[in-house]
Amino acid sequence: MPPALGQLTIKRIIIHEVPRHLRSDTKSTPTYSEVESPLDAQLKMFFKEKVIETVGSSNAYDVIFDAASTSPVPQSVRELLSGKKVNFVDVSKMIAKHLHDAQGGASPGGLITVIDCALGVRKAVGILKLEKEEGVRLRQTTHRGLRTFDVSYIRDLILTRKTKLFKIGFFYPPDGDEGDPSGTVCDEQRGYNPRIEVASFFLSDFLGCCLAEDPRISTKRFFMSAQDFFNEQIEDPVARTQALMHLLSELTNQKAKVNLKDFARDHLPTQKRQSFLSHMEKEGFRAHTIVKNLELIESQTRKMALEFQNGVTVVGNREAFEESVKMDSTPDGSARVEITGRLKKVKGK
Amino acid sequence: MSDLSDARARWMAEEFKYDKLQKRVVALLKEKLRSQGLFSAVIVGRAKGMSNLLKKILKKGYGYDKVTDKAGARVVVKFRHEVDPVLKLVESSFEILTKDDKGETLGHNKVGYSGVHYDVRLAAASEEADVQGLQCEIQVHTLCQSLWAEMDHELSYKPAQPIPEDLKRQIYLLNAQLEIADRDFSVISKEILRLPGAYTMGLLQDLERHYYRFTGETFDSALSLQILENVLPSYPPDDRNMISVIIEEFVGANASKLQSVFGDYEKIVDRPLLLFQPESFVLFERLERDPHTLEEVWTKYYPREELKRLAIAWSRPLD
Repeated sequence: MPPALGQLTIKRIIIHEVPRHLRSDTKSTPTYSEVESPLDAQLKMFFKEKVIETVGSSNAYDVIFDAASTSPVPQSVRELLSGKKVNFVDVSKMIAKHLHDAQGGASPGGLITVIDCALGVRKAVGILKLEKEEGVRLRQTTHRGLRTFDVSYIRDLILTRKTKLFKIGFFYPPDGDEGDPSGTVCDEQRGYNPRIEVASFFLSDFLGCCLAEDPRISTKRFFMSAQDFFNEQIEDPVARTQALMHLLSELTNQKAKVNLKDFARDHLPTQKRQSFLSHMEKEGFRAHTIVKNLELIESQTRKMALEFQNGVTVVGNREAFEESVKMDSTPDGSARVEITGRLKKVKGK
Repeated sequence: MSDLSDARARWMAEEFKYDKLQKRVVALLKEKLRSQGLFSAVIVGRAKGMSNLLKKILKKGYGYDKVTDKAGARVVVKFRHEVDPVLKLVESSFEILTKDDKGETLGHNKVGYSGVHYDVRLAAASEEADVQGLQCEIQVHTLCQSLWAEMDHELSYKPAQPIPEDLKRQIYLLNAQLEIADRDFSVISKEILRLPGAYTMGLLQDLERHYYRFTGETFDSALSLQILENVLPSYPPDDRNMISVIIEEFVGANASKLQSVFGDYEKIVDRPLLLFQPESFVLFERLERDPHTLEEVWTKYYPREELKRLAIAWSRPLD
C-alpha cells in the first residue's frame, strides 16, 4: 500500500473512451478528450475515496515497472511524476492509444481515466480502467470549447455498477524519491476466477508492470513468517496446530493468491487477527495480497510436524494428520495427541 | 476641545481597533476553552457603543483613557465548578492588568453580584501589532450570576425613581436563592457523572473536547451515547476504563491527519454519516488498532456500509 494514502489529493482527471474493436480494424480509434474534465469538490472527494478504497484494500499488490516490457505506460508515468512540464492531455492520450492498440476483439470497450494527484507534497498518478456494459453510451461535452467527458458520468457508472470491472494502477515516487516509481495495482476481477493469471493483460501488457517481489520468495517468506507467528503468539496447542493446517490448506488450494486479511478473519481467533496482520507488516508485507508460487516450499507444504518439549516429534502427511491425528489440550496447557492407524514398523534411531 | 468632543473624535478614530481587539479576544477564548473541554461556555464580545462611552465619561467624570471596557468579552459558564478552569485559562492566555473578584469583595455575610472581572492586554507574543497595547475587559460568571446581574440592572437602575428599600431587599434575596441554585446545579451535575451509564457520558464529554478542536459542527449526542455503548466491547476488557486516555494519546499522535480529514469533508455534502460525531475518534482509533473486532461488534447493531465509509475517510479501508 502506498504510504500516506490519507494525504491523497485529486488534482486533474481526464477520460478517454476505448471502443471494442478487432485488431484488423485499422479505422478504429479511441474517442479522446481534448481537455481535462471539470471537477468540483464532491467529485474530487468521490475519486479520492474510490482510490483509497481500492489501492488501500487488501486485494492490492505492489508492483514495479518491468524492464522487459514494451508498454509506453512506464515512461508516461515517469514523465508525469518527474515534476517537469508535461502535456497531461497528450500523455494521457498516449496511454489510451496503447490500450486501444494492445487489446484485441475479445476485450470489451472501456474507459481510461488518468488521474493527476498528490500524496502530501509528492506527485502521484492513477490509471483507472473501467469496462462498461455493452450498450452504455458515453456522451462528450465541451469545456472551454474543447471536447471532454463529464466525470460525473464515471462516478455514476461506478455507483450503479453498470461497469463490469474496475482496475487501477497507482504510481508514486519511491521511498527516498530516487529510482523508478513504486506502484500498487488493484483488480476487482480477483476472486471471481480462482485460476486467473496475475500477470494479466492489465498488469503486464497494458501497464508494463510485474510484481514487486518474486512470488516464489514472497510465498516462502509468508509461509515462514506465519509459522513464526503461530509458534510465538498462539499458546493453545490445538489452536496452533489448526492454524498451521489452515495455512497449508490455503497455500495448496487452487486459488492464485492468498489474502492476509481474509486468512486472519477466516482462520485465526478474533483476538489474534490484528496481531497477525501487524506481525506480517513488520515482516515487510505492506500489501495484503500474496501471489502464490510454491516452488521453494513444495515439500514443506506436503508434510507437517508436531515437536514436543519432551523430545517427541510427530511427522506426517497433512492429509494423514487430518484423518488420523486427534489433539486436545489439558488444563495445564499440555497437548494430548491420539494417533489411530496400523503400525507399520518400529525402529531404533 | 471639550473632554467629550475629544473623546468622540478619538473613539471615531479608534473604534475599529477596539472592535478588532474584542474579536481577537473572543476568538482566543473560544479556541483555548474548547481545547480544554469547556465547550459549554458561551463567549460574546463587543466594542462599546459611542453613546454609552460618552455617557460613561459624562457620568463618571473621568477622561477617555480611564475607560477600561472600551472592548469587552464575557464568558458565561453553566456550572460553578467550571469557573476556576476558565479563570486559570484567562490568566495564562493574556497579560493581566487588574483582577476584580466581586465575590471575594462581598465577604461571607453579604450577597450580590459575584463575577470575576479582568482588565487584560494581548500577550506580548501576539501577532496583532495594531491592537497590542490596547486594553480589554473580560468578565467571567455563571449562568445564574449572569441572570441576576441582568435582572438587577433591569429592575434597580431603569426606573426613573429610586426603588423602595424593601424591593431592593427582595432583589438581593433572589440573589441569595440564585446562588443556592448555582451551587446545587454544580453538585447535581457532578452527581450525574457518578450514575450508572455515566461512564459513557463522561467519555462523550472527553470526546467533545477533542471534537471541537477540529470542527465547530453540531452533533447528535443521543446517537453518540448509543454508538459508544455499543462499540465499547471492541476494546479489550482491561482497556475499557482507560478509553479517554487512549483517545487522548491517539488524537495527539494523529492531530494533523484528523485536521485534514475534518477539513477535507467540511464542505462535502455526501460524507460519512458518523464523521461529524465525537465518537468518530473512537472509531478511527479502533480502525487503526483493531479493525476486525470493531467490524464484528459494529455489524451487530449498524450497517457495515457506514463503517466502511468512515474507514475510507480514515484511509484504512475495510475489504
